[in-house]
Amino acid sequence: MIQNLQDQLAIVSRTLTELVQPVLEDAEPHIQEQFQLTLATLGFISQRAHLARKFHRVELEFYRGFVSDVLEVVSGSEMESTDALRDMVTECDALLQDPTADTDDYLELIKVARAMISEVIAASPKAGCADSLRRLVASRTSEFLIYQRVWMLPFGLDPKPEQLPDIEEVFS
Amino acid sequence: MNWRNPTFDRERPTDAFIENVRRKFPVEPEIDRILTNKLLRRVKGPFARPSLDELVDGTKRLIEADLGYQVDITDAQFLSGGASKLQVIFSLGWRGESGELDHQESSRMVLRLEPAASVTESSRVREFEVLKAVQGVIPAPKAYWLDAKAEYLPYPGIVYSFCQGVAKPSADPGKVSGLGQNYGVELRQKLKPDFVEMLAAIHTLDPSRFAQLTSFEVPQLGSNEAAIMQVNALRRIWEEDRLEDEPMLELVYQWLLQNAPATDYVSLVHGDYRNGNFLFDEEAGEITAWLDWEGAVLGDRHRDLTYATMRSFAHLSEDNKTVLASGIMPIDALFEAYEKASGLSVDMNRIHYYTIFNMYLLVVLILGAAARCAVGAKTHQDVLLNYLTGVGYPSMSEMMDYFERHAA
Repeated sequence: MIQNLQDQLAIVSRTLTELVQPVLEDAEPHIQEQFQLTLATLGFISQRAHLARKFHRVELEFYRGFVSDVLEVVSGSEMESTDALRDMVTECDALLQDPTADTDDYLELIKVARAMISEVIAASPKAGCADSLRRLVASRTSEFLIYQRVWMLPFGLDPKPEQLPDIEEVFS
Repeated sequence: MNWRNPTFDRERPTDAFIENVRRKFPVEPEIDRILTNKLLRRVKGPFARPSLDELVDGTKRLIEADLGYQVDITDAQFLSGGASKLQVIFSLGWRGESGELDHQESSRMVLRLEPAASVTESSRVREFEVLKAVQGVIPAPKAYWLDAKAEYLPYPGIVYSFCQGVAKPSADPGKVSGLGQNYGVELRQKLKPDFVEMLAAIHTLDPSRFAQLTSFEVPQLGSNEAAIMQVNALRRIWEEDRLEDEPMLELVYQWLLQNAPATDYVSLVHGDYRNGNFLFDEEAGEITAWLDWEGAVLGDRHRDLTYATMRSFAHLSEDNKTVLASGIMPIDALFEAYEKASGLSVDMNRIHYYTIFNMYLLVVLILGAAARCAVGAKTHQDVLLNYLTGVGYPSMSEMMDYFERHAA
């Protein structure tokens, strides 16, 4: 039998809450605060770990579309990086079609896509496409921010959680 | 462009990377020194919290080197609270401020030390100077000793007086770092006058006191150079610290540069004026000390006004509609009371600009600096800083909404 990660986290969290926490009642406030935050972080992991691959696949699909839209906007401008953007779209497609791709592969490519879009924005005033790019970036960012907030919900720090969809809607 | 270039490994910044960010984002000289030191320290590995004994020993040597006689340090313990600095409270047995030979007294003091990196990388020299400059103007810790170059302590630190008061009301003690702190109806009414009048007092600080702020650049009236340097400081932090890019932040940065307002009046700006950063006497309902001066600058008063009214620090009043800035009062009422108390105008164009500035600041610090510190194991508060990244995307969402309404 191979222990699954959810069970491992549940065992550790219960031990920390039921056995370690009472012993810390007389500890420095700083230590008590750190302990509570550790439990909160473990809670986040237990609610999200099993969804990580699915979520980051959705994220990569989103950035693939984002790069493609950026490419469309800058194609008629003086921007030099259109070949790189085109290659990125191809690379995203290949990874999304690879059944053996894991979470780290997705994260690595998402990181590069984000860097690429940021560089294009930085260069956009000189290339004469700043306004159309601004509108695109604002609208695309708003769209995915909802999902990012949903992902972080278990930390309990979002001021308007009632306005966010359920995590399952992110995958639908 | 090469997005996989190894010079982009921010955990191991090269000399070329450091020189490039210094050149691209010019900032005040003391800010440049601090941010450069942060990068140089980054390659030295994770932070190990110094022992209490080590800190007591360093503090004792620092004080004795200045006073020229032996002092006693007792009852030392780490202080909780604050997301960025390491703090130790202790009793100092000394001759007091008079220094008279036959006099002996015990004073409660605080050592404030920076860890290997910090969510708000800042200068102990500036903090020391600003605490000196506001003495007698508003209640704040009295600064006594400074170890600017870490000659006695493991990292630069200052020693200041311990201030009486609490940061959180007994009815709502659980908020992290004052976020959304609710003081309750009665207490907030009592705290309101101090909150407004002390802000006005900081902003109208007699310019002759600026002479004590030798590590600060004084903005030129009619120029927007100082505002641009403050924007650049944030952009530089984002460049140095981010774990990954966030395209929207590049847009906002460009807008902040293009729309930076010229200085119309030079104020001392606290930089972190909000709930959670002051101590108060719960019974009397009076503010007893303003803390966390590390982000202070000379600049535009609207920076503090908009920071104090940020949604992240606010909560709704009992009517479930009115937003209470810093848990103290409605935003319009704050601006009106501030104009009366300070004699300075509140300019809505500047309010919009500095609201976006502060939203950008918050996102840069949370998604950039806090995340970098936690991942790099650079502080004693890594788990807190990691937890606070949970505010990053709601903050960015708020920034986007505001940016679209007021900057587009």
